[in-house]
Amino acid sequence: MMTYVVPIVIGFFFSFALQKAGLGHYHKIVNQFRFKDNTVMKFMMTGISVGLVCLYTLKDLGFIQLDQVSSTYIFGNLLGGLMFGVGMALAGT
Amino acid sequence: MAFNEKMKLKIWSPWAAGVLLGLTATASYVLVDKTIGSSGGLENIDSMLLKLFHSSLANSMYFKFQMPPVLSFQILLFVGMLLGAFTSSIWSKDFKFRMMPDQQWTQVFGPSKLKRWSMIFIGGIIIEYSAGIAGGCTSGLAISGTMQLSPAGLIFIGGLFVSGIITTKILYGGDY
Repeated sequence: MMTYVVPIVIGFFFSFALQKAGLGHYHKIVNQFRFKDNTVMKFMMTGISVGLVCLYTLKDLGFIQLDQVSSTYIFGNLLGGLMFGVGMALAGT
Repeated sequence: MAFNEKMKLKIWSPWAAGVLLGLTATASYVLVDKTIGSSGGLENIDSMLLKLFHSSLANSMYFKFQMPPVLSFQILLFVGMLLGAFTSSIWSKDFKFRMMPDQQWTQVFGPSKLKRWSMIFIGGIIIEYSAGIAGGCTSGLAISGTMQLSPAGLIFIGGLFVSGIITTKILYGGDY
């Protein structure tokens, strides 16, 4: 149950949010890079802020431990990010 | 507005959709102690394929330990993602098969399907490869990483926007 059903339900709501924000469309992604349409930025920043507040509240109340923090290695993250942007602008996904 | 009418809207306010995203990410952390991501699942599938065809790459450290050939959390996430996007688009009658993106692409790059498909293919290769280098994609690193205040996510977002803006500028030329 926890291993198989829960991930599917989480994925369901994740892509539901993405689809409702309209991020399945080419023009939404590319127009963010042209600063004609700030949907991507608004969506990402709201998601991050809500998640940040919820996660740190739960952590401070002692319900969860933050043990999945993405590891930082500056060169790799930066190089990956720089290449990722090229792909994202080409494909628009 | 009633629940059903809300669901029939093609596009929500990005703020509302963002709140749903944040709650989903928190739920995933609380329930299964994993972060949402999508590029990792593809690498698990790659790893399975390599093992299936007895490629020597399957024995490399990366595909043996980093991305093992197992039915991981992220592959199951894919199943849910397909269902979620499908339900959402059917409910709002937004579902259709598209060979080409709407309007903007044809105005800028012309009606050639080959051009669109080769560009999305090359773009996809670059995206997946660089997600492997960085350790995550937009959802796995930029959203879930920054959510935990990891510097990695912020560095990634910075790099992503710098090169994205430059590439779009080059592609669009005067129309930028």
